[in-house]
Amino acid sequence: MKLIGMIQDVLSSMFKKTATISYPLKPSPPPERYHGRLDYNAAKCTGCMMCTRDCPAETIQIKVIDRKTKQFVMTYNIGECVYCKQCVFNCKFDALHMTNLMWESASDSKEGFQLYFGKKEHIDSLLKQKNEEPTA
Amino acid sequence: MTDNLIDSNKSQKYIVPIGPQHPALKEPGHFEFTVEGEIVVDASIRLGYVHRGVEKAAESRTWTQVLYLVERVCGICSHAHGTAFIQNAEALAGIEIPPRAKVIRAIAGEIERLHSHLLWLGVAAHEGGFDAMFMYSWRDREIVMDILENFFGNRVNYSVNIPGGVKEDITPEFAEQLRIKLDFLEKRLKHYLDVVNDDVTFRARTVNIGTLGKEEMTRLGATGPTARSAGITRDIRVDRPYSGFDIYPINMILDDHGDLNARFVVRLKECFESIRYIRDVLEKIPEGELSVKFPRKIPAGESMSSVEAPRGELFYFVRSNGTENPDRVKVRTASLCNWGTIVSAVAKGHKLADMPMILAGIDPCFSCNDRMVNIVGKEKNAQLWTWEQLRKYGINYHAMQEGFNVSDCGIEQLREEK
Amino acid sequence: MTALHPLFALFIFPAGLFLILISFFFEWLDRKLIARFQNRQGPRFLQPFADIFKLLAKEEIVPIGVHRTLFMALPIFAFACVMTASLYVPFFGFKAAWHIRGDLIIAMYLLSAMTVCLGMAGTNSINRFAVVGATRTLTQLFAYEGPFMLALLMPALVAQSWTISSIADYASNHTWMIVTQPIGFIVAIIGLIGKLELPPFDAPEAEQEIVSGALSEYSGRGFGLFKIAKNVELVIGLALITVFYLGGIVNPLLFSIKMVVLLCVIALMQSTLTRLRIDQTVGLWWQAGAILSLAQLLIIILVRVR
Repeated sequence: MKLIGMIQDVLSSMFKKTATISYPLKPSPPPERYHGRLDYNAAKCTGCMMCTRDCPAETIQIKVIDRKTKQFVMTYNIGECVYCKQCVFNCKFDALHMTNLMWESASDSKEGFQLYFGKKEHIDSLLKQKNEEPTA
Repeated sequence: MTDNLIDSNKSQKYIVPIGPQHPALKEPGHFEFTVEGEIVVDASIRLGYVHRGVEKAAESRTWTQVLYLVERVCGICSHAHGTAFIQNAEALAGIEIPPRAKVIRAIAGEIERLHSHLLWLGVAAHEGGFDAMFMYSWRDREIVMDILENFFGNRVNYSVNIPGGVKEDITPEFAEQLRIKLDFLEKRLKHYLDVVNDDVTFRARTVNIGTLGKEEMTRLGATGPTARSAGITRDIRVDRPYSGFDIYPINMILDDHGDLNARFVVRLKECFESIRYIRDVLEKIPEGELSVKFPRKIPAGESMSSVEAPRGELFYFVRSNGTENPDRVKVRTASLCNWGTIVSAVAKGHKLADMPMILAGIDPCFSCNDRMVNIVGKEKNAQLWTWEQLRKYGINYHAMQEGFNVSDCGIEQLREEK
Repeated sequence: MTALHPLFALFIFPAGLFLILISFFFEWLDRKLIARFQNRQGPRFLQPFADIFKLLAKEEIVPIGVHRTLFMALPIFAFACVMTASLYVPFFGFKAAWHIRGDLIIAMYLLSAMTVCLGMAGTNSINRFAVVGATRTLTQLFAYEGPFMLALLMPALVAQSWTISSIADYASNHTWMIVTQPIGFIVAIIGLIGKLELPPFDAPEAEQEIVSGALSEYSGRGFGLFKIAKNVELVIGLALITVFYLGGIVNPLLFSIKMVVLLCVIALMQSTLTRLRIDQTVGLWWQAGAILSLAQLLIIILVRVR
């Protein structure tokens, strides 16, 4: 048996479950510490822009609507993000968090990956502005 | 066809090209094996298909951004790249990271070594047509990947490092989980070592294949497990202990056969050593902070650091000019050192069928080693140096910097004997 | 029998369509077993059928530097060879569709001709992988052919006939030849693996070195036909060994079970052994295989003379 090393594994695996997970039928939940979608809390943000400065993918953008009343819109692209968690460490005010959500990120358009955080009217106005801009 | 390429009279050479796209190579590299029947009489290599300009890109990013950029030089030894770079940055900034952070870096490095060696075991067995080993070792590698995912949040580029420390803490619960998984892994690895040592057909493909002696290995400048399989005592973790390994030392694994089988044995035994090390260190991991503050601007200066990546010595040179961005980052990966052992020494005289296994034997990483060197030309300010001159200059430079006497360490004598 | 009978035998049953369909099943079983041995799930039941269906529907690319007619004709010729050979082999407990004196030799010859076709297909193209693969195919042919032939001739010697059908009759009425000629059985089953170029004797198509060996340049219909030919060859080989060594013609169910057990053994060897180099393969066959089968032959002759 020693001379054919793998024979034990091979024979015993006939009576074992396969190591393959039948994925879409059997969902596998992400672990707790998984680096998934970024979460943003506008109430805590001060608009210091430390997160945007060190973002390796340069994908976080914070639009300041009004700094006094903490009106910010954070845009972030989950397709560009490298999930390194650096922004969370840079944030001194606990406004950013990594969640373990949306790890099966898929979309049929590029816009699907773009996430907006903030008040709805601000986001709408921002999007309207963007649409009106001539595409050079 | 009259201009039949095979028996054209122009050249009697029969060259079998492997790559850049080839089932044996999962990354692009081009090899040309001149064969006579089945026997390889000449080999040449062409690299550079995955040059990405990482070094240049680093110059326009902040220190923190470069950390994540260099982690992506190689997907498998990303932690080693990150550590090697950030050690330089910390040295230039004059920062000493807390001991807990150092040890966590070392643990992450060893987990990475486990996953890299298991990956290699599968790939090398697959190159020899031993698919059962491939499937099983990759199945067990998934345990290591799960450890990384559970703990550091990502499966591949887990970015444990942060300038000035590490991100995640090792909690007691996690340490307990890790121990259970390592126990299982150790059992499996023992089994694989038995297979590598005993299996008849597998031994027929590995023993006395690709043998390279100690002298030849030293001459060609091999590093990592490839060098250690021939009995060269060369391990950065032992020779120049860096983060973590200076607090708790690790043992060097050696073998003196220098053939393919020795490379399997050395890598598998290194896995055991890594498991032992992680277990030991988890017991006595020092308390303290995880990171210290890292400045945005780093004072001007130059720094070098080496890290023992799973494939061998990984070298980083960093120059700062006092701004937020590094002025120059130079990467020298282990695969580049080891190519010479295949192309100029081992390949000739072996069968074509052995070539994939010999190639896989050094655990090559193609995208790691694609750098560009621009030789400007003699009339300009560039100098062309021979290997001897460069060596002499290096020895003198370090003698001057470190203040030691060259004749004491016997480097010169070693050279002259050769 | 009416005139319909030979045509029916040729196109529908036991040769022809039925054989092709059953060969899909055996390919699927082989792949599934290997997958299970490697703790994987393996392909779905219709996968081999889908593969072939797709290949046959695809464009066939004729590369530069090949003899065009030969390139197109070789797959058909190889396919025809194995289908003709199948006429002389009793499948699944039914009598062979056709038999003439010495058809064992004809069947063996036709199966070898298929391998020669592979070799010619490789040397026909200027692809280096294909040429190296073809050289290896033909080298391997010379290695296993002798012992494999001897292993299949020994039952013939015992039965004193060169006709597959009468050997089968003899085998059904006597002790299983796996008991009386164990060495011959081992050589035969390993020879079958060598003939089919399955691991560990898959050096002729070792993808890590020479991509797909002799068939590197084939695509579409030609490749599909070669694939079918190889699958059918697997079934023929299994059936021959079952008939000769495992108790001749029995009822269809038992016969299928025996074939599946043989396939299990082959799949087990495929998944546990490392691929041998071509020089190791040749060495093994001429040093161990040939001597073993000659020893078996000697034993038979001695027993018979006495």
